[in-house]
Amino acid sequence: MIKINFENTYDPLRGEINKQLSAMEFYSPQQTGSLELIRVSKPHWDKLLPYVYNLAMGPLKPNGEIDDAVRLKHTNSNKVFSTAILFALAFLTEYRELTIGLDGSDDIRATLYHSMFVANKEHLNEYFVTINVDWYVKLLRNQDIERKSDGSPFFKPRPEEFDYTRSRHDLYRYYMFELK
Amino acid sequence: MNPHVQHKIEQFKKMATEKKVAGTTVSLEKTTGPDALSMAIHSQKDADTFMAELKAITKRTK
Repeated sequence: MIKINFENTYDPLRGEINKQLSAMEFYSPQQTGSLELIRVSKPHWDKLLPYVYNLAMGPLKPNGEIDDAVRLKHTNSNKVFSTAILFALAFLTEYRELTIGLDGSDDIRATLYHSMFVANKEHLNEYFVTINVDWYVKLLRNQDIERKSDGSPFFKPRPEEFDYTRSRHDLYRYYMFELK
Repeated sequence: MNPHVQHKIEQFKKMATEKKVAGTTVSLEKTTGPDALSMAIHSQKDADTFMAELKAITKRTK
């Protein structure tokens, strides 16, 4: 379980905080004894959602992109996540109108994010409002569901207040937070 | 905000920007592709609805 502590974070190697692109890098010691360069970035700027920035984190691929799917064995995952969330906090203190998103696109990541928010509820709620997103599909009057042109269900994201009674077996699809 | 954390944030920002000024060779710009939320929002209407709901929730929660 991740324990967030802003007093115990890695020092940034370098970084940048601005609205177009914010990123920072730090080294995280691995259980193998090596050091892994981790980049935290808020790359997502969608023209349809200009106030929502996705937070990505991971080592770099050879092409320079963040590999957010790789499984790493950090010696101190608490410190890694505390660093990333502190970076998000620093970003939001500059841009209070923005919202940060964490993509729980697979069960491992969603479980991690869910557990992090639940386990650190009081601490994180000092700084952030947490909102989460489920995907819903509309039930039509004819008892069918709304579908896309290819016949697949037309799911739409709906934000909700974080329900802390939801267990890690009932995960959200997307996790968001903004400055309180 | 906790003054100690506030100080930590300022220190954090300062360190990040100082290191940037010191010069880097690798671009910070390459990142990742669109995320799940971005892919689920298909139109301006979808986005407006989502943001209105988000705003209502955060206003109520704050």
